[in-house]
Amino acid sequence: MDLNLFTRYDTMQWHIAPTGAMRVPAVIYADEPLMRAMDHKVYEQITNVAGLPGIVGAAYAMPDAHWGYGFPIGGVAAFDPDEGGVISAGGVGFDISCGVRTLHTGLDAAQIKPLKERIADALYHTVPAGLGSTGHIHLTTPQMDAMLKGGAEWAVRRGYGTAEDLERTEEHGCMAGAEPGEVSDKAKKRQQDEMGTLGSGNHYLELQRVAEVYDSAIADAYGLVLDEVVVSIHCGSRGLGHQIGTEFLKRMAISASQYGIRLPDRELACAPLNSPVGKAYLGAMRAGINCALANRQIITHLTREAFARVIPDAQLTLLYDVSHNTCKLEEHVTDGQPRRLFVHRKGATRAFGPGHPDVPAALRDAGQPVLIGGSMGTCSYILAGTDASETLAFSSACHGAGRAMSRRQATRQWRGRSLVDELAQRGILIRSPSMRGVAEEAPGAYKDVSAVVDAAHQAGLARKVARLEPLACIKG
Amino acid sequence: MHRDLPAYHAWRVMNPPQRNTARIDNTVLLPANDPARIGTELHMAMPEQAAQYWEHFEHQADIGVRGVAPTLAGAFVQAALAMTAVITDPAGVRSTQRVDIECEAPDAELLLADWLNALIFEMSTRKLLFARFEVHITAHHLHGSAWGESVERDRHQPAVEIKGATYTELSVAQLPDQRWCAQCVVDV
Repeated sequence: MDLNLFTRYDTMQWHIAPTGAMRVPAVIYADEPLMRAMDHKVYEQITNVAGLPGIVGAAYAMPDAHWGYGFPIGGVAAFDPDEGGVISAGGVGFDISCGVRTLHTGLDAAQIKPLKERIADALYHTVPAGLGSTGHIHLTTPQMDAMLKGGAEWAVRRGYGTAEDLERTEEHGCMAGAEPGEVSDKAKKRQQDEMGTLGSGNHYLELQRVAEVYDSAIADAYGLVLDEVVVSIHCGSRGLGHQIGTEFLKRMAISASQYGIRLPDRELACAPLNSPVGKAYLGAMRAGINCALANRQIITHLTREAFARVIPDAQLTLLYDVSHNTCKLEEHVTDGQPRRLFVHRKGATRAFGPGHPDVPAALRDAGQPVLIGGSMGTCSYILAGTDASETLAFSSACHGAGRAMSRRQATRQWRGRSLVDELAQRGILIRSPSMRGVAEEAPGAYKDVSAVVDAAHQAGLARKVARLEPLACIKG
Repeated sequence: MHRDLPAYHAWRVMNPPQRNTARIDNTVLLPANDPARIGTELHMAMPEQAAQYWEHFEHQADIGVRGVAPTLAGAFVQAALAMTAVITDPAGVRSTQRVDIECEAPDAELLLADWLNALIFEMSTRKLLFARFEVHITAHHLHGSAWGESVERDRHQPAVEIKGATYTELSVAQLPDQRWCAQCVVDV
């Protein structure tokens, strides 16, 4: 990206003053090398977002920002419904409430080592992954509607997990305001065989070792111990969320002109929060969030079952569950005034600082856990929300590495089987139904997650707590 | 990226895909029995001047599908083939089942997205892969059929499932030589 387009505010902040149709400034958080490597599309997309009606403060991009759909991936924007603020299906993304949850195993790497193959196989055979896989749970229409209302809370009521899991999940596992009636029959049909499935692409279930602790006080509060083994699950709302995104993208693209919204890019399709289309999407999107929360809860249950078959007395407890494709109503202070705003985070993680009432009581003093996924073979990170993040970007941080090269380039450069063998030599087991899928997700096809995390830390968006190294990865 | 399609086409004619070289130099190609080998590469080895073809184009996180043909309907067929090739080699998919599809949209671009999204829905709910398509377009209405078979994970090695056809790089336009080009990015 051409750095002359920006005013450098400090080492980690790059500002674009409002020009043309922009209503507010745009701000990118990154260090200079990340900025130089960033796609120019991020500039185009973040300035387009800054021109949407009712946007408040600024349009923000996280250090892992890359070319997305209307919004950049890694984009954050807040809207005031009383000032004509909008909601955008592209600003949430097709995979509504895609996110990460991390579970403690209470076991250390030495205890796991002799059992790693068996655990990887048990997980692979228990958690359905990849195209064509089918979940074990098939819901009737009333059951589907109950799931869309209840989220992870519904799953726990059905026996998939514990009340303690809900305490450690955003929204206590249940997104209020979900309207299953706004979710089409097609979206529900697409979900009929997909409850408790991992999906494909960059989604995974990974066995990881706590390889480094940066902040021992916060690590203590999170219960993270050096060398402990944890399990991280990365997936979203599956076919239901994708279908909601598809259908509302079209509805919003068609209705935009009726609301007097000029779209510089059709993918930026949006509707006023107070309009019928905006309200319908909000209800459907919240149902999509519940679907994702229920899905990760069921996969948690399956993970526990798989572990129990190898280590009968293993106790897997949830550290936290966080979503990175959402639009949520939150209270934020702008210009000294508290306001209730709808915050879009597309490929960005909510990162509430210490003391925030929405952070579980046991973690509140430390700040919200921010779970950053790497890709197979590279490390993942756990960060903590900061006080500063509130003023920097409505309490938001990065979500992952982001791709450095396209899928096509990756398949030219790597072969799935060789990658699996190479990673096995490094002690990382890969279980996947598709070798081409593995090649497309090669670790080298992603940006350096450590650079992204360091930038988020230095910018003050979140604080580094621990680094996780993969031991085994189940890929769709 | 390729918003200006005539300019892209002119550039493409001057810079044909280099797969022909890869074909001769067998060390560049993966072994024929390697499941990571993809149909895309082989397909793109066809001469650019072929009356109809499909190809993929780059998107940082995902992948673009493009179909070119003498007719609008033909371009939609080629775009659908390109979409199958995101998942698996279309040559390895048998045409044993037929699904009929109807779509309606206010313009040709939204109609393309609708067509691809309808196929994604059918693939997802019926667990099918498609390899042959027929499309008829009148004004804002599309009537089409897709032939394919059930996914067999060992044989098809599906690389990825597609979440949706997006409006990013969405374009339906006529090239200077009167052929039609239909394209968009799909989210995987």
